[in-house]
Parts: sequence; structure tokens; C-alpha cells
Amino acid sequence: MRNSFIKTLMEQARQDDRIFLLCGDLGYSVLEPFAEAFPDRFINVGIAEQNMVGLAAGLSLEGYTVFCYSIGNFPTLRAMEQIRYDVAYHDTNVKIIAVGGGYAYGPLSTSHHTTEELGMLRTIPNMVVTAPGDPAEVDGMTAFIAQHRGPCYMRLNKAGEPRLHAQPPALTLGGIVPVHVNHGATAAVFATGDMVGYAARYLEKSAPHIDLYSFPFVNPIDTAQLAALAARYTQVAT
Amino acid sequence: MTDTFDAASTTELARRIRLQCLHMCHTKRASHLGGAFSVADVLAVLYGGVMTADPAQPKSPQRDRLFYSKGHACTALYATLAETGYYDRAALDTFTDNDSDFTSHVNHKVPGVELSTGSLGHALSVAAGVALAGKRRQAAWHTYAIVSDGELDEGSNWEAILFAPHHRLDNLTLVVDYNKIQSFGSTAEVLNLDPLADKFKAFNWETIEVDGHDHAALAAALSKQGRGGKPRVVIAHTVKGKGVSFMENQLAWHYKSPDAAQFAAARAELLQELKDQA
Repeated sequence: MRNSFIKTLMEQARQDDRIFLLCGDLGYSVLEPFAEAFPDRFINVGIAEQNMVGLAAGLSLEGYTVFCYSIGNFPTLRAMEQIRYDVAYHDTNVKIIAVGGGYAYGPLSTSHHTTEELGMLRTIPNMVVTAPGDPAEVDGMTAFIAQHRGPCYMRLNKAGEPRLHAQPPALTLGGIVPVHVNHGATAAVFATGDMVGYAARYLEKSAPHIDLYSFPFVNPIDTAQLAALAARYTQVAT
Repeated sequence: MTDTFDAASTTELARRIRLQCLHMCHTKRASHLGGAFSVADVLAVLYGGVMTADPAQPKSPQRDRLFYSKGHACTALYATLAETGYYDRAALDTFTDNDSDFTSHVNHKVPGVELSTGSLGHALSVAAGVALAGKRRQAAWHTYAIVSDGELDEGSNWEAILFAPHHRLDNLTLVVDYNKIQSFGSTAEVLNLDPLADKFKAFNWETIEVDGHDHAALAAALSKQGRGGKPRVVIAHTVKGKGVSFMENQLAWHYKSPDAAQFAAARAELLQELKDQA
């Protein structure tokens, strides 16, 4: 997912010279292409996440669209007050990107388990919170948040995730994305982020008659679409 | 007002700022008067001449930007903006009222306020980001940030303090309102900051110490001229509660709002200052 992110971000940055990327001393072997292509729009700010998010808010006040990239909980929990206040309350055009969502870095132990940030961020007004389900959704979501005016968060997994869509799905704010839909299915699974891939693999092997939907937007969610979808099934598992 | 300085006029402005702060804290039973009084001279010199600003166009792209990180001393900034023409003085009457933009920590919805602050240690990073944008665009405008002394306890400041000289943000000036008293004790008792100037020098900031109530010295220190590749810090040695004898250097005046008698006595002192000058 992280390579999809940087590839799409570079495409966006070629077209939009307001895009700026900050990282917290992480991104080795991932971010170099961006740094080489856009040296004036990339800064490694060091292991200083509160400053990174504050800088992003400041750059955004002057018209830049700023992406902040780090791992796990570092760009969120460590800088949560800056996100709440300098970013979300001021409606600055800052996009927080975390690689290693959930247990993607499981062996690195608890400090690198990213398990609470979705819950925390979705309580902050004005924050668009996303967790795309596969590299194609990451492509679509990266483009979406680059063009969306307002604060966003995107949780990425890591690398090597199965591709669930042939093309990046068209995304609308809060929209739900079908992954596998049978004709006349009575049960469905709703999943988000990395869990969509797990669900897809499990269902394909053990229950291919059950439909699968990805929720790349954790908040907001298109509730009308959700209600219509839920009405089609007698059983939904999340 | 563009980059001119006249001590008589900034002195008068500072007095009017203090009178407004006193009035706001009394009528609305608000706190933080001591820290508003300590920074009044800094604000008067900045808005009274040093900063390039157009009160009729608070978002003018060529303006100097000021990030007021010690947002609790909001009356001082609100009063300064009123007294320099960003809005009508009458707007201050809504201070702390429901539905008013004049909230008890500075709010960016008020014309002239760049950033809502109130959680200490945030605005210097934002100011550094703004200054960085200015560098990228080779802009002529300057960025100021004002922090309190106790505020420097917050570690987040020091991330920005490392960042700014590393990225040669010589279009950034930090002012420390060093009144030596924080909110539950003196800075010396709670968390000693000294030697403060030495710390900034070690962090590669151009460092100037001034009497924070000497307008000529402030004007020289805050000048945008003669910058050579480093951000500048102006450590303004100030007195909490400056301007009213019974408020000076008193921790209690971080919190207390003046009752009727205190209000009258303080007002008389501030007006007497004018009589004495005349």
C-alpha cells in the first residue's frame, strides 16, 4: 500500500504544485522518489511529530496541501492535540498518513501496534478518517484526499497486500466500495483497511456466496448508502 | 502602519491596551490580567510601528504575521487589535459572551488573529511552517511568535527551536515574555529556565535580551533588518502585572479579576501615568 501511496502522490504533485510532503525521519526506501522529484516540497523534519503537524498547519495556512508521513501511532497519538487544534479546528489542508496500521508491524511489538487511532480520530469534528482496503483503493484515496479541501487521515498497511480491484474504485466522500457481490446473496461482510484483504481471502476459500464490502471511509460514512446496503441482506458481519 | 516607530505613540498605545485589558477583566470577571500587562509593551511596539500590517485588510498577503502562542493573555491581543483599528472598540464588549468570537483564549475568527491558541507550545511550530512557506516563496514579509516563559516548559516548543535554525528561518522572530512567574509559582521555583539566553544561543538562534518595557530597545530588537541566516529570539525581561503597582510581580494576578475598588485604583494609576507624562 505504501508504494501505491507514493506513486499516486507523485502523480498528484506533478499536477498540483501546492502539494508538500513532511516525514518524521521515516520512509527509507519508500519516500526517496518523491524527495528526488520534488526537493523543494519535501522535508524530513526529524523525530518530532508535534512539530511536524504544527509545521504542516503553518504551511497549509500559506496555501500548501501538506502530507505528514510516519509510522504507526507516531503521526497521530504523538501529535493528537496538534491534529485536533492546529489542523482540524482551523480546517487546514493537512493530510496525516500512517503506514503500519493495525498489526502490520506486529513483530515490532506494542509500541508499533496501531489500534486506537481510528477510534480517536473519528471523534474529532471535521476530520475525514480513511482506511483503504487494498493498493487500488489507496491509489484512489490518495488522489481523493489530495483533491479534497480539508483535514484527512489515511491509514495504510505496509506492502504486498493482495489487489482486490483491477482499477482504483471511484470514491465519493463517505462512499462504500463493493469488493465481491454475488447475485442474490443474503449475507455480507463489511470490513475496513487491512481486514478487507483478510476477509476476501477467507470468504473466497470458505464462503464465496457471502458478499464483501470495503469501507475506506471510517468517518464520514454515507449513511443513506449504508442503510440501502444493509436492507439487502438478512445478515451482516463487521 | 509600515515599519515606523515613534516611542511617544507606542507608549500611549501600551497605556490604552492596559486600560482595555483592565476593563475587560473587570467587567467580565476574567483571568490572566498579569500576563496581559507584561506583554502590552511588546504588542504596542509590534503593532504600533514595527510590523507591516493593514488593519483594513487583516489577510493582506504582504502583511507580517504574528502568532500569539500565550493565548490565555487574550485581552492584550484583542485590545491591541481594537486600538490599532482592526475592529471597533465596542466589539470588546462581547468578550467571553456566548456566541462571541472574542473567546477567553485568542480565536482566529477575530480579525487580525492568525491562529487560535490556548494550549501552550503549539504556535511556534505553526509560525515556523509559515516562515518556511515565506522562504520558499522568497516573500518579504516576516513572521513573529510570542510565547510565555512557563510555556517554554512544553517540549513541543523545543522541536521547533531545533527546526528553525536548521532550516535557516531568518524571517522568523520569537519573543519570550519573560515575566518570571508562571501559573503556580515562579519560573525559578517550578522549572528553572536559566540561563535562558545561553540555551537559545546553543540552539543556534540569534539571541537578544531586552527590557521588555523599554520601547526603543524593543523596537531595535524586533526590527526585521540585518538578519543573517538565523532565526532571532528576543528575550523580553518583563514584570507580570506591569503598570499597576499592586499587581506587579504577584502570582495572584495571573488569576484574579479586579473588583470595583481594585479596578478604580488600577485605572487611576494608568491614567495618572498620562498626567505625569503631560
